[in-house]
Amino acid sequence: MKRTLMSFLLFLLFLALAAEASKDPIDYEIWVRLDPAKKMLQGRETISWTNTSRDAIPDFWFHLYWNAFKNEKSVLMSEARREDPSGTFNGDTRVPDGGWGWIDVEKIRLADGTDLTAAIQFMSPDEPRNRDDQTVMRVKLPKPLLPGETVKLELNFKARVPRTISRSGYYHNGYFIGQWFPKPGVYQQGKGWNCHQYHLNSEFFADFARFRVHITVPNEYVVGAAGKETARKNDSGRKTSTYTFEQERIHDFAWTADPDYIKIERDFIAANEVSPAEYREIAGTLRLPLEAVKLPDVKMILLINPEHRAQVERHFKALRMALKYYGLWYGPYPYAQVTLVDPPFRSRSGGMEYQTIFTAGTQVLPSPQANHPEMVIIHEFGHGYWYGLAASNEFEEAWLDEGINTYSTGKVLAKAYGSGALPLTLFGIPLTRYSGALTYTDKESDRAAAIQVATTDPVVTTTWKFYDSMSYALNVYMRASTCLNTLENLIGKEVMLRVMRAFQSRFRFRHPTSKDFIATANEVSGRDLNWFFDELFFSTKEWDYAIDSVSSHEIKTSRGIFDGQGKKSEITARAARELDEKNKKPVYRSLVRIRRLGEARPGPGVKLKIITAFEDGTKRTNYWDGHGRWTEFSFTGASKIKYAHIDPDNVFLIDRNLSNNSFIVKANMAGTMRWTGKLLFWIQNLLQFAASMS
Amino acid sequence: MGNFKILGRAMILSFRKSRLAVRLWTVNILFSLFAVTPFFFLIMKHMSHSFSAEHTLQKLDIFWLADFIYRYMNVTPAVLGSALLAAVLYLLLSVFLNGGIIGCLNRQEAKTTLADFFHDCGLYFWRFFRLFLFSIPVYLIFIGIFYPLLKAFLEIFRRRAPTEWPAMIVSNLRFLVLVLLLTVVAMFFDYIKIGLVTGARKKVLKETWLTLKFMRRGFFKAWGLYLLAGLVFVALTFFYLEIVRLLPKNRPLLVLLVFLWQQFYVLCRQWSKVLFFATEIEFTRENMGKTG
Repeated sequence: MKRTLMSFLLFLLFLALAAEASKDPIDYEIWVRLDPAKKMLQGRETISWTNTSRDAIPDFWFHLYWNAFKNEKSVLMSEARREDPSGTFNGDTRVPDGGWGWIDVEKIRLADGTDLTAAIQFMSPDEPRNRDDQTVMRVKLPKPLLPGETVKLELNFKARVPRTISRSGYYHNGYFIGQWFPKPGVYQQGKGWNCHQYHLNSEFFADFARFRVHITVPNEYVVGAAGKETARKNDSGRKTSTYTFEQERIHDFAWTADPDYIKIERDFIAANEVSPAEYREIAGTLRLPLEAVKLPDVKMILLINPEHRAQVERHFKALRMALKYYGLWYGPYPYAQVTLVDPPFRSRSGGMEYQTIFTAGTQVLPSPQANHPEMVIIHEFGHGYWYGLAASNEFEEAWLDEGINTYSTGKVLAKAYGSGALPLTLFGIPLTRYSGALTYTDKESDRAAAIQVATTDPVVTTTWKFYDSMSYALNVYMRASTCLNTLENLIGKEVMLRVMRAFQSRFRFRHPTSKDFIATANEVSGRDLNWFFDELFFSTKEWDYAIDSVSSHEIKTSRGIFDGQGKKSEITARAARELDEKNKKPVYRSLVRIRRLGEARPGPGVKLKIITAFEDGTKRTNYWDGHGRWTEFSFTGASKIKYAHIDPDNVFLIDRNLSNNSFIVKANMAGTMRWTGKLLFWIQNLLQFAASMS
Repeated sequence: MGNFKILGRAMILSFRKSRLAVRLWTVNILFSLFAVTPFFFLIMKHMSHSFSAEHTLQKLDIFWLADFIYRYMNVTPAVLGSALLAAVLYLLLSVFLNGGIIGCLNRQEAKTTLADFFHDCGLYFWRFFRLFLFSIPVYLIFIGIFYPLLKAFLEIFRRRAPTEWPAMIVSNLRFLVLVLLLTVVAMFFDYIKIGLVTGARKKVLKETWLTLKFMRRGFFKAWGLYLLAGLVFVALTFFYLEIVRLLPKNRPLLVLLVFLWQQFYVLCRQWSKVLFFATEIEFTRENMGKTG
């Protein structure tokens, strides 16, 4: 009863915090017109921005993201070329002639008419400085904005839509328009504007706002956007339609237009998706009142390409699963609708998150056995929680959204779909039917990637300071996810779920940091987990414990001179042999030697479990703090060792070599034979292929 | 005679001389065993004393695979280099064996001995080796010049494709064209080999010229027959894949069964190689009189 009362009070506290956070500091109204012939956007934007800090703010900083696509001297382009001069891996940064995109602020003025256009400056706040970059704009205000004051700005801008790059742009008549309008940075009290340049490996950071956006496109276009469509006007003279979308408490606004989209609406009806037993179970696990875990109904809108019409049900099912499990585990989805976009062909805008709208991505012949496009749908929807609601700084701590969301995606996929097959295709034709042996969960595949990059960079690294795109991607997505799975194994599934729920609830509509996550994990689990994050998130240490050797030797009678009964007597080799022969029950001394091959170590109070099994079926369990470079356990008994296994429950999934965690004395050749046989078969076929040229 | 009848006769011939396929399979597996031995010890060292071994009997254990890749990633260039070297050596061995296959197929006796086979391998080796050297620049011209030109042409359509289907069709068309080009080149050199054996001629260039003349008259029929034999191979491959998909693999005995099925497929591949030559011999016999 006391626990329930405490839970309810905490719930009320969360509601109070959420209500406090509900005052959006920004109010946007944007009018934008798409000119498909010229690939241009003509826009007007009014921004009402309130100084919620205690600082007097002398200037105003904006992101002009599309200037990253203006020329090869921008930060994004120069980073892409430095890493990959031929553009082989960052294919969409190879911009064809005529495909460049840009944004110009033509005019900026205060609501009283004061023109600030002349005060526009391009800034390069990030190291190393790049003065040619125009993705951050600063405007000095005539007088500092005092705490609590609101400034109203009016901007006129025009933008050239790029031939798709970094998930924004066009291909033929299909448009996906993201990061397209002048967007203020985030003002941080005492620190100033957090407004980074657009980097190759960075995403975004913005304040929550109320958006009202009027989008004008030719009549034949089907439009989807963040928020709810509240009005549509047709201009028969100009043959255009103007759609109005509105949404509060989001920090980004994206939209898409394509004449070929098929628009389908369905409802997520919570009562049909979640049973009373499921509600009771999750409420019990989270120690929350039943009402606090109830899910709302949500309108689901799907914009899908006609070529993918046959996959409508797959898309909706994945979205329903995502709404259900993210909702049950991390809190109810707070918006009335969500739009899922199967993006236009070659718009390269697939797999991207924006609030209340996101893109998936599929192909005309998807594999029925693989969890695609389900994985992308669940992942990008999940960003509505991790990046969307808990709006971390993606420039500085990308793991907080990508890592947590990759971990969450894996859990939802495993729960809703189980293992998936490797999506094997040949020229777009699925062959997954024949790759049946390769099924895996995201947890397994994430770990496979995670162990490859531990020594390159720490997980918590500013995005553009990673060694390369591969290190960025594998560290912030897969390594972070694997570390979180390890944490879950360490503290238990239920406690981990409570940690995640508490973190989401406390930081909804706020900007959490890594410190906030660690503090929440410590508090909710009741354990000091700082060591865990120090070793695995803030350092480049690898985790690797191994059974180095296992041996059992019969204890023989010792030879030599022995004192006894007041005299010295010698046991000779022959005497020792005779004594051993008389002994019908041999006794063995067994030794298990364990080594720490990595640099990472467990923290205080955490012990590594070691199971030693003997031929007579008995087992011994030992524990080691894992701090030294090696340790050994010796046993004396009537039976030899059968095997030894450190961390038999795979708690430390992040271990770079799980194969050396166990040592079985008698070699098991069946697996070896199977895979050698398979390899032999592949080699035979490869050679036969080569022989066809003879 | 129609192509189906020729194919039927070729099948009878290849079955009658089925020992050829067994000989080829024996050479193939011995060579492959030699190539796979280092990996056997590597896999054994890495997994046979670990619990991973138990998991990998059931399916490909991703944990184990990741460990293996992590540990041996650095030796990838050496492995690829060795694979390339093995492929080149096997290619040369195939040049040697081709003489035995065509020679035995051309013999009237129903049964040919191993001695006959190796006699023919030795007899035709230098002719076939010269032909092989001659074929390299031709392959390079087709793969390095004709195909890129065609690819560049098709790429225009692929790039302009407004939707996914046309783009995918053009991509696959590109692949199909490459395969068809290679079949033309391979078939042409096969007929030269057959001419060298059936005509008992030694001059490779002269035989090439004669084959060109021969091909000019019956190219499409010969190509159609070659593709028909190719379809037999494709059908065999899909049959193998469908069966192997159905076989459970979670017991040592079943693993052995899968291995035997795989080897049966390799044997069928060798037989299909014999079938290609048999169809070409039958086609040559059928048309030699007509073409003079």
